Amino acid sequence: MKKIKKIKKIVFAVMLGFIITQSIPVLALTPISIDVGDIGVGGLTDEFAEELENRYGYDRNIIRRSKKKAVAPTVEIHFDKTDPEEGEKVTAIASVKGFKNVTEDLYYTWYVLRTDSATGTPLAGETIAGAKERAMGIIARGEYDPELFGETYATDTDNDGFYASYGGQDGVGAKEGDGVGIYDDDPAVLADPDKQIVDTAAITRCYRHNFGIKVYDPADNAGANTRAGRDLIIECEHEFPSCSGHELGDGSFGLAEEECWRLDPNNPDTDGDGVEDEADLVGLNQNQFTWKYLDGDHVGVIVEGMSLSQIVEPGLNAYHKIMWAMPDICARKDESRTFISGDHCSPGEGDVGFGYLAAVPVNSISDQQLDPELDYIPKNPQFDDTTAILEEQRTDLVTVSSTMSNDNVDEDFIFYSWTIRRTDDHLEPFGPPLGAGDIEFESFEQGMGVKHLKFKPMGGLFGGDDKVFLFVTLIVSEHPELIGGSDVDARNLPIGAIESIIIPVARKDLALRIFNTTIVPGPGLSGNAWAQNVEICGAGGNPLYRDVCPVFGYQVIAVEANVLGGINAGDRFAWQFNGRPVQPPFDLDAYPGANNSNSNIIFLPMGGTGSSLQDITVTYKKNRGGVLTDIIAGRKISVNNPVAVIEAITGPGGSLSVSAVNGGNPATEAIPTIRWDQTESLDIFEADPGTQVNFRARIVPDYLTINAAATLIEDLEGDPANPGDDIILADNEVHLMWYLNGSFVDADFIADYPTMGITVAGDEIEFTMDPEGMYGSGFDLTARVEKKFSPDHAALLDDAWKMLDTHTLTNDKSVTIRLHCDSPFALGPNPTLREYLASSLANAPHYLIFSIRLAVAMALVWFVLFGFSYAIQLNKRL
Amino acid sequence: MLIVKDKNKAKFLIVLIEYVLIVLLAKFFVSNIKTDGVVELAFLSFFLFFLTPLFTIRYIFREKTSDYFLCLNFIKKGILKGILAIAVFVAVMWVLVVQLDWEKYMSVSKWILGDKDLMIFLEITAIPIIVFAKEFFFRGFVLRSFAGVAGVAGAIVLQAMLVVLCAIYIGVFPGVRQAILLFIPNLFLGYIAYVNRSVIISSFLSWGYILLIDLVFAYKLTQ
Repeated sequence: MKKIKKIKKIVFAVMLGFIITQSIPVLALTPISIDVGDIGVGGLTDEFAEELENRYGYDRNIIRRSKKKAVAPTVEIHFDKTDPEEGEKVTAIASVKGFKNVTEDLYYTWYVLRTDSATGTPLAGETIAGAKERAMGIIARGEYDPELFGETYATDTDNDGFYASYGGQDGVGAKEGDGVGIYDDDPAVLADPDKQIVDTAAITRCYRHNFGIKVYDPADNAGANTRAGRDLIIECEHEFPSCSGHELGDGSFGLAEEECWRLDPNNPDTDGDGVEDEADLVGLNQNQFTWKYLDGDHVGVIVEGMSLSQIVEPGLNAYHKIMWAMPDICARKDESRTFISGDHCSPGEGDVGFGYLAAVPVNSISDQQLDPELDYIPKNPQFDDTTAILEEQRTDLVTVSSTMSNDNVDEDFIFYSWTIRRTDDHLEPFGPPLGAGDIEFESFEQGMGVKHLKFKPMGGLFGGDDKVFLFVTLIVSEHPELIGGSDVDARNLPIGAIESIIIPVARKDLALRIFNTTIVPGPGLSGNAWAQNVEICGAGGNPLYRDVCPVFGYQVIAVEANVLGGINAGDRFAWQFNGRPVQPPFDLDAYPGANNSNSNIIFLPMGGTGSSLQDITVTYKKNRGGVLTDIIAGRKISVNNPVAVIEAITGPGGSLSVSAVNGGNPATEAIPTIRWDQTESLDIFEADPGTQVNFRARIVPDYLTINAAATLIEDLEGDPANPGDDIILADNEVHLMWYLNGSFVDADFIADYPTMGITVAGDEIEFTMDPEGMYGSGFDLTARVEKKFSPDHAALLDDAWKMLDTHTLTNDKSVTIRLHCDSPFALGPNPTLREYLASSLANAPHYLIFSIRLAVAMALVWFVLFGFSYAIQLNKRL
Repeated sequence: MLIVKDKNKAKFLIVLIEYVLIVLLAKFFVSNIKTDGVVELAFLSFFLFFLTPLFTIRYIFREKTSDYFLCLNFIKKGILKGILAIAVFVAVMWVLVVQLDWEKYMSVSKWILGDKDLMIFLEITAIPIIVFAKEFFFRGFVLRSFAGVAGVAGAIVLQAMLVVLCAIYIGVFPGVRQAILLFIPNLFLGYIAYVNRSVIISSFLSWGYILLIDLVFAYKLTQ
């Protein structure tokens, strides 16, 4: 280390020598000779300083003045709880800025005002002095209770006095001065205005900073702006509380004061916080105040200390001004603060612009500006104007939701008022609030906790427009009487808020229609082409199919976008299938005029297997006079194999032959059994022995028809009528087959069981519940539906979409028809002894099971009793 | 056998719990009976009202079943008291049934309208099992267990009340008069079982009472 220091010294010496020796030759070689004797170093400096002052405004007193312009002391109050319960302990924390002292040396004089919780008005008899006494007593006393300890205040042995110098524990002290009421930069109180040296006789060392006013009030503060930012000389006087006339901070804290403050006279630090009693009472180092909250409590604090701005007296070093930081600035404009006599905020007394003893409400909710945020779903709501096309009204339900960004706000107790108006320019609403004819509300428009507004746009909203903008306005407040726009309540507290959001709503004049297709001769590779056939899942059809259109694998559907009023040149369509753009087919010739990028008709092949919900969507860019409007329409389809739902036919005319057999009486129908949930079973029926039952197969999708000629033929490959030929099903045909207990019902089967009277025709089957017949206890009836595709269909699928493997689709659906008879356990109304014995023997297994169940139940009882007897130590007691 | 007053309520509690469990189970099984129910009732009575208390006496109380009046030996002196009780019982029933015309509230077996052979068969096969199991449970197990805590008179009244409660819960006697007409025979049967220290006597009497009522009603209904 020594070596390094030595090296540093050498380097420094060499550099110094180099600078000196090199500067002399430079001056000597300068063409303009400088007469050092004429100018002198002092003269050069003055010129340089003058130039600086002229050019940049720096003068010799800049440092002195700058020290006077430090930040004035301020204090803010925070609470550890913003919504406390009554009786709950709350801690107020004072955050100070602008003091030279450290926290430990500042005097914090707290006060807690009791106010009317509804209005914030101080209760009768409340004063600042009383509020200070209340708060500082709590600080010094802590949880000490003289009555509890039997304190009689006979002796005072604790010697806990504290002398409070002005400006904090390390303050500079105060003095009297004749410049009270004069700003400290006034020449009248300055001994040297240039150097800002104050007149010792004028100043008191205590100042009050004028922060200026928020709102200019010519009647009260004609020259207020000229006073802003300056410090007023004031008399030095602590803001400490007093008790029965006993002053604090005088170093004397006798028995009377101990008793008055209800402190322990024999303990110098009654509350045990490390600060002695009188120092506690003057607030030394008390930057926190904890008390038991009462509804309506307002809290404030005054902090005494030395500011960062300095003053200079003649012959003295600069020192810091003594100042008091207060919670707010007197302007009589901030209604959130409580005003009370003696709070240093009396405009007539020139208090405007200065700090004052504001009292802050603890319950921050009343002090908190509500801040709602709005959002809505769906993002592109539409009014459906296509009822004429689909007989369905699919207008979007718009939900506007409000969320409060504030913490500690219970939205369920906030009052909401919603209004919807029109807007054009996206800035301002116009016209009256929208109502019936324009908007159909699906929720309340106002009330407590109505944070969601739900509505459907109506046709009247649009007129001739394709798109309108709704201006949704929300007013929130804590009080119902404020609904209507006011944002202040009875306490003049700004607690309401207004928020708005603009929602574009389009008129959907576009609907998708789904068509079955057929194969016609065409220019495709296989010499055929798809052609749009009949509409499926549309108006006039099954209403259920309008929501989800059932289709089947390998089916090719045509989807057409129908636009009310027709399609204009310039309109564009973008198709999507399950969220992906629809790709054009390989063989464009198979779809004349369709499946290009801007067609209102597309052809879609369905996947071969699976059972899933899929979406077809089109985005329609409607061009009307150069104005483009995006309209979105979609349909859902469900891809499943065709299936036959078996239904029991009831009533007259439903059966094939029974009506004739029974002389026109209705058939004895198969009765659905009742399930555990008391609903009728769809697949288990009962019928009396010997009766005829009649079932129908309802094909789903219902736009498919049954090939009646093939119902009794199991294998379509090889037409019995034309040996060597296959039976080819049409595009909209399926093959229905019936099975009884697993056997295919064909002509041979019917002939083999003549007693069953089986008849198959169309979509129906009828047979007798023959108890002596082939199976005895009942029948399992299965309807099998087969969808075979023609070779042309398969070839065209291959050409168009390269779908090579076109399977036959098969689906079975079964029901069970049980023979209905009395329970084998039951006896007739008057059984004989013989019948009874026979029944008992027949029911022997039942009795056995009954006995086993009883035995198990008995074992459970024993188990419980054993456990209980052990629990109560029965045998010990016995 | 001297019944000593026992202040220990543990046994009383166990019997009470057992009664509640058995009644709950009986209700459950009765509601699930699919046939005419006579055979099932016999099974149910045998398992729940006979085997269950038997087990409790032997393996939980660790006492003899004869202490619970399940014995053939009965006190001879009790016969006279029993006869007197029967006489009082007949008098009371005569007042109720004949004088107050409560005959229609009497409970009779449902098969009395059917085949006579079947009626006789059931009266001599299923009914004795049901009656004996019930007598053992109420007149032996319950009465004897309660007597220690509630006293003999209290136990006799309590067991009769429990019979009525059981019948009401299972749904046999929906009315007050039916309940009274059930309570009184059980009260006397309890007394007779106590004075004779045997449920055999009370079982025979109970069976005879049911048989008599069924036969009388069967006769009256067929006239």
